[in-house]
Amino acid sequence: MMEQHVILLVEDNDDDAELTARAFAQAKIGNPMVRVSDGVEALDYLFARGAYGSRDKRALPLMVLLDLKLPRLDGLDVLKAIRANDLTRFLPVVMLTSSDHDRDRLAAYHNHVNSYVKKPVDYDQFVEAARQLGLYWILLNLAPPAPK
Amino acid sequence: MGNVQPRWFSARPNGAVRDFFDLFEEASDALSDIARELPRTTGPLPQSDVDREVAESRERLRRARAGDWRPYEERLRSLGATYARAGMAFSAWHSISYRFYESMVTRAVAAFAGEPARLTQVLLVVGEYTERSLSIIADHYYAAKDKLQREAAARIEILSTTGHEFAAASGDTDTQRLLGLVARRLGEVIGDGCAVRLISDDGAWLEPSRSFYHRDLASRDLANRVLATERQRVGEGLAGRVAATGEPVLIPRIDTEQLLAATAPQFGAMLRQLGVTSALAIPLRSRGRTIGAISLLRTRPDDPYTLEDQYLAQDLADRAGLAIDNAVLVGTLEQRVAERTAALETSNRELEAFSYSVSHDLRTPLRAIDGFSRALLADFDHKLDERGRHYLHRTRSATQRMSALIDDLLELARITRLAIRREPVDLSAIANDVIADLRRRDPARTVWVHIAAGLVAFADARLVHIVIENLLGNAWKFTAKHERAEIWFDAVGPTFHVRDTGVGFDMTYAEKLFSPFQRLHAARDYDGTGVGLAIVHRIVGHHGGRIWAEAEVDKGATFFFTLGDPA
Repeated sequence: MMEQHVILLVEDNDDDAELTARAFAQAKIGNPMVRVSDGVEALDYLFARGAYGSRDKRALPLMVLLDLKLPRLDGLDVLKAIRANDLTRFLPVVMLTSSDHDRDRLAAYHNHVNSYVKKPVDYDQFVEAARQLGLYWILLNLAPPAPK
Repeated sequence: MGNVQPRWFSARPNGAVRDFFDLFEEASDALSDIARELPRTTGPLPQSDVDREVAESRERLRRARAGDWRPYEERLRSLGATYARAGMAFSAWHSISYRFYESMVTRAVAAFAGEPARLTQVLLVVGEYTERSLSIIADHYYAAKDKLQREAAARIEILSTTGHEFAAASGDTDTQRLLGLVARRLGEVIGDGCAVRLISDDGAWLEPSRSFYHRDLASRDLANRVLATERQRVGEGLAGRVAATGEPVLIPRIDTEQLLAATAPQFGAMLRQLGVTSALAIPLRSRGRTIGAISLLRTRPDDPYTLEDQYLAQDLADRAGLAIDNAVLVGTLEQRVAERTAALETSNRELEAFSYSVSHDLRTPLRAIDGFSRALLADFDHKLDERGRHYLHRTRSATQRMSALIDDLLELARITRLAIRREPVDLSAIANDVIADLRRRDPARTVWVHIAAGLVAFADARLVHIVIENLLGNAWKFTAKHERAEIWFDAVGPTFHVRDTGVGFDMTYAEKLFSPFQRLHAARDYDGTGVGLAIVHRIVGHHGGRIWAEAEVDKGATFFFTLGDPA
């Protein structure tokens, strides 16, 4: 069996990060979760720069759970950078945010986000959302063919 | 015309004519007394130098005696016209002529008392002279009067049409365009060039303007290039002096050097190129203040400005002044409205940013409270007793409640900012959908619902949906504890109403009903955030409609609303 792909969680709030990890665990999604705290760190991880310089950048995460409001570089800029790079162009990115603001949603879709999920306040609903996300992106969805 | 020798006297013996001239010459001194009296007897007349006129009169007499009546006729013609323009009644000429006739008769009688035949001949000549003079004066008096009347009518016509035009344009907030219109009309009516400039707010300058009009396009462009950038100090130059004093200045004949000396240096080259021959500056007044100056200039040496031109220009300027003042006022108001709107938009944007961060930042800790409470319940269930679990459930339901509050507040803020998009809306269909949804969510309830068919309005469909959802939702909720729950949705004319058989409320508190967070029932009995009716109130108000309620405790409530339907 191939090495388990990680789920990259970009989340500045420790509470949310812990609860998200717990929700995915409860939803029986076994993929390891890597958490980074802001947009710059997220790009460092993805493009194997800075503190992640030794990482193999071809080992892409299974998906990115991206918060919108982040310190330094915000979620939208991270999304743009992911879509602008050939290596990460097709990487599944799911916006996971408290905002259901029309403008935010529109901006995310303009930049080719794969999904936009509002974090429910109700934790039970959150677990259900995590379960469905995992089910869909890990089991159901077919990734684009690898470049020859 | 004048060079044809008129036969003044019909076949009078030469001796009688000679006698007449002799008497006339003797009478000249006495006649000058009549002339001196004229201003007192006939009202205001043009100023004249009586001594010079008497001397001129003697010269005319001398030439008439030699057979040349032209200077005399010329004089009579000009008298007729002058006195007509001065507004003298023609009857005054009769009395003047009669006094002349009387004094000549007295002299003739005294001179020829012993010669009845000679006296008769002289008196006939005097009579004929008086009548001929009077008829020449009359012709020219009435011709001048007629011309004056036609001019007055034309002037009234110009004043009226131009005045209406200015008044109509006073709604134009483009002040420069209005100044251009005024300059154009004055340039056309009075000629040749005209510029209208306003005094700056601090009163120190005549502001630059692109208003200059001249029928010659090259002159127009030349002057506007200068006037558009150069301002003129109030008190300096012709227009500047007029702006300072509020008094018009008329310079009928002016050569360019004089004009250059009189005007501000920055306009010298321009005036020289235009070739100004006559200048007129008129104050632009409104509500008792001088708000600017109108400069008129002629470029035809044979046609200087007259007092008539000045009066007409002032009349037009007074009409224009009010229109321009109004336009400036409206412009200032509009600018102020624009500034307020911009300020409002800024504060709206700030509010939006605020509610955005509220939605994001307030939800995050709530999620943590709920999540970790849930984690406690899940992972430490065995260590918690019934009370511990109870407290955690209470914590969780409080966070849900706060989350609902945040959602409703955001909704309230969002609706306030929405623009209304009116379209025909089927309210009956919306009501049926809403009830169907309520029944789905609450299948255990038995509620009799009566929705009138064909209720339509011209309103914003999404917003009206929220109104009906809230009102029917409330009716549904507040009938929950009543045996026979019944809800009606109907309209009388433009007024829609939702009636129920629920708990109703005490009308004493009806005022509070539509303010956010005001609840008339304990949260324990009926859930909800207390924002729903505030949202409904805003939507109805946004439509230009009204909402009010009638109720009685335990007998149900009726909510009435209109949607400002323009149809």
